[in-house]
Amino acid sequence: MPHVVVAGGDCIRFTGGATSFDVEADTVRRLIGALDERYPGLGEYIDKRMAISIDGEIFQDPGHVPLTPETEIYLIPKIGGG
Amino acid sequence: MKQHVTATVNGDPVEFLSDPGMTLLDALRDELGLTGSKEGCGSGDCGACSVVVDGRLVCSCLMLAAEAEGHRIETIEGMAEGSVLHPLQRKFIEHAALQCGFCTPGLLVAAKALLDSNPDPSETEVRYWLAGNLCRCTGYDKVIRAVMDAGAEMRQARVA
Amino acid sequence: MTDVLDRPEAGDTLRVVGTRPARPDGVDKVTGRATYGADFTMAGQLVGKILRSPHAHARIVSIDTRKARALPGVKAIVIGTDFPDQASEELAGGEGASNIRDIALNCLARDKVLYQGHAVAAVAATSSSIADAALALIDVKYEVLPHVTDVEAAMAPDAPLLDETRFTTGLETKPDKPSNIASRMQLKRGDLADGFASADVIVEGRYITPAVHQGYIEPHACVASFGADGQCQVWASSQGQFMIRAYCAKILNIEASDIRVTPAEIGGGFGGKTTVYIEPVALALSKQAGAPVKIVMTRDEVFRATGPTSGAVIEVKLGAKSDGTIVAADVVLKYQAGAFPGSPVGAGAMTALACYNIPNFLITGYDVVNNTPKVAAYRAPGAPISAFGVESAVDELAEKLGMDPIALRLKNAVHDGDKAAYGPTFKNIGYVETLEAIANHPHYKAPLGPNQGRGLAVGFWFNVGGESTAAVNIVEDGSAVVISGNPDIGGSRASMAMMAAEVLGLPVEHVRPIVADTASIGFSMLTGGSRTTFATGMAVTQAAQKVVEDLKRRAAEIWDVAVDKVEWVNGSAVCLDAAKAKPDLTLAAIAGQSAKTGGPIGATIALNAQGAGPGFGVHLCDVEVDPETGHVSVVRYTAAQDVGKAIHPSYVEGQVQGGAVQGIGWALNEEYVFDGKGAMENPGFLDYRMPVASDLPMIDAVLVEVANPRHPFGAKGVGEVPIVPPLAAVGNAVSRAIGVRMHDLPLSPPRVRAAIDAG
Repeated sequence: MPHVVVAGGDCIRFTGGATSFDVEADTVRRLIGALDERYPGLGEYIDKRMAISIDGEIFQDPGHVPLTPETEIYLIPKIGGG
Repeated sequence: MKQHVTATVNGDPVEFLSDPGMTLLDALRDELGLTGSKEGCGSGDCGACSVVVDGRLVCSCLMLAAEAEGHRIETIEGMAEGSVLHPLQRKFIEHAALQCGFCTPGLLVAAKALLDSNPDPSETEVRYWLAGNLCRCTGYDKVIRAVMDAGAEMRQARVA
Repeated sequence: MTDVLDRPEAGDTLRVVGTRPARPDGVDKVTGRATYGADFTMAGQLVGKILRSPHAHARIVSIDTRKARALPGVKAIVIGTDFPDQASEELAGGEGASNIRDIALNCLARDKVLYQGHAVAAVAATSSSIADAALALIDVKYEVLPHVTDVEAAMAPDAPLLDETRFTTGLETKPDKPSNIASRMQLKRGDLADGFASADVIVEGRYITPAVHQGYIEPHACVASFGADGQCQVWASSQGQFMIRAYCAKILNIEASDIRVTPAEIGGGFGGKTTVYIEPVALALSKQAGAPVKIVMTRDEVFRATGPTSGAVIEVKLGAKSDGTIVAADVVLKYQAGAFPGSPVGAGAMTALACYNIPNFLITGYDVVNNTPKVAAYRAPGAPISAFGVESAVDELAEKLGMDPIALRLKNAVHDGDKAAYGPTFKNIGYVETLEAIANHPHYKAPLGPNQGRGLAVGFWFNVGGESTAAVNIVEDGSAVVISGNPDIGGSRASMAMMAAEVLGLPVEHVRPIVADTASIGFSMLTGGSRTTFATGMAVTQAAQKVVEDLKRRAAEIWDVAVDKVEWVNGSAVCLDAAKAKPDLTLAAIAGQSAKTGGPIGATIALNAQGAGPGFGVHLCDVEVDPETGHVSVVRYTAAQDVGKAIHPSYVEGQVQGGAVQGIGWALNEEYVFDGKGAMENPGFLDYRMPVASDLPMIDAVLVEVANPRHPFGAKGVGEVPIVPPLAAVGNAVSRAIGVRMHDLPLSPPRVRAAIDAG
């Protein structure tokens, strides 16, 4: 099952401090849904505030991306620019 | 009380009515429709409104429109000869000496005033002459190169 | 749409990409014909002006507009409560997420003013002088409150609160008292105590950077027209016409498709034009007046009420082995957000250690509200600030270890396959190549003169992709038009035309690039984050490729051969079916008979571009310090950057040179200065001193091309990275020149002189 690490942002206000999770999911959309079920409100927070790094590549909106148990997932604050 | 002003702009006679507080820049932009001169600060610090009055480089935001009475004004709109660009204009494009382009008219007018009075300036002279023209995009590198190159081309044209 | 393209086959030769053609908008911009925000005029337009708070922090007791309304020539007056009520809602506008209520309150205050210059009311009148007179007649009663501008003072438990209902988020336990600290974030790895315990050398420092402005030369300007039928038009200078549309629609509760925003030429932005200040106000005035309204900011307004980026305190502690291996880092970042939450401390934290492999670290960031203008994005937002602290500390470490600064950085450098400090694993980065480019540059070995010092610093930026739409239409004579939705800030029309020309096989002069209004092309995120050449360029390339596929199909139809027997070579269809032996069909020939093969030729691509490769910069700076006055001159500057593949090298160099010089200004001259009442003391270019031509040497830009495999031509964003290293590169040069470590920016003559005296 994919392993998710929160790197930055203030997700911990939903998780009570936890920053890494194992989540049963085969797409990013389902992964966010599962996290939201576990920590209500976290899903919306991720959707609005977080970008998702999947195997080293940062996606701003990666809902459709398929996941495998080996996928490396990091949640990081969305990045803008000047 | 508005004042009637007559002047020469880019070789052509113009006339307009000026409010007492109207700057030459306002008159050029709002009364004469010559919006090539830009207002970046309104205090003479950025040079985006540079024009030449009777051969002298001035910030048009610091001069009252009424003071233009009877004077000869040159703006960016008069720099090209018809559809033939001035060498400085060509060199700015060739050297990528503009990014956003907002400061470009002022820089070109100021650079032309320099080359008209000093056809063979050193890099240091170009840098000091253009120190009154702020550019935030380019870091000035390509601007300086374009002016130096235009000067060289104009000198060569004069010899030939 | 799929969002990734295969790279052209190895060995493909590029005809256009990588060359330096004249930019398509060049002539307009050197002749004064290009139309910027303030250059646009509409028949019957009124002059809009804004009344601003004289106080840094005050409650608005009442606003009486009756006298102003009675003034002949005054056509409309708008105050904050004229905007519909807004819920606190995050809206994706381009710069990550922004809170739409905060943006509305920043356009026009309601209950409180939060900084000197905060907009309170707006008028539209038939002339500038009547508008000025009307502003003077608006009677605002304030209850002045204690204010706080300094970031650490704002964090103190007894600080005046900007919002009594704000509690710090990001803490393990919910705080029981409100605070100006909007949020705290942390990034960590390993065990900090173990790391420092194993270190042979420790350096520790506290660094300060002032708030600085983006400093674009063009003040914000717009013309807005609200029709009696509810149809709205806005002409505005901004980094994104779709951003203006989205924000105006939300703030005024208008259907977005009823607002058509036409992008004016933009006179610089650097992140500062990624939000709205005047556009919703001008629309509201126009609605009330029944006439178009033009608002043009003064420079004073630009300084007091737009931008800047955060002033900050950066605390850095590094531990290293005697061989230079960095084993621990503790970084604390305190960033001003200004009047509303949203400083770039998140990006500051994520980039702080991104160039380094460090087994144990803790990065803590604080987003702190205070009574200064709401910060706006500024080129690599947040990164130059944290880099100033970290790169100064690494330089001090190099001195303490007696190590070459490049050798120390190479020893700790991230490579492909390493985990970045912010989480993900790096791929296809060109950091080491960029360090080596400087190590091998003649500048690195050149001798220094008396009173001179040499500083090196590195920097990192993620780069982003995102949503873009582009269309490529073939004209009947075989030329092409490329339509995109991104304002051209620094030459992107040229790069769009070049990429399309490359794919179509046309000379670039035959491709006309257009930046369209919001009704004429599909959505694109704004021009920012160094995304346009990458993401919109990807849409343009794919659209051109789709056109080429269509052209091949049409040629096959004309020749009556199978489509796989047609190849597209240098702008012509070539028949591979030897039996038919057809002469090549040029693009013009196919376009001229398009009606017979299915009608007009064109393609539109809408995508969400992924795969923006991160960029690294290495800057080298020589300064000379006048020991008498403390004045610092930059005498030589070299900036290397991994740029993927440069589409138009001149404009890539321009990004590197311009970014470096903005950073030099931040290091040496620029700062917001506030008086005891929280009023900005230097809101003009005379006292807010940006670099001028005579301050600088040539800036040598070294482009290191390590192709980004996720872009069709290998491109990556280049505009953000170059402002990240210069603060520390200049600071390190000064520190080495005078033998005293400099901690506070700007390195103004009195500050440098004082350091020399104290050292």
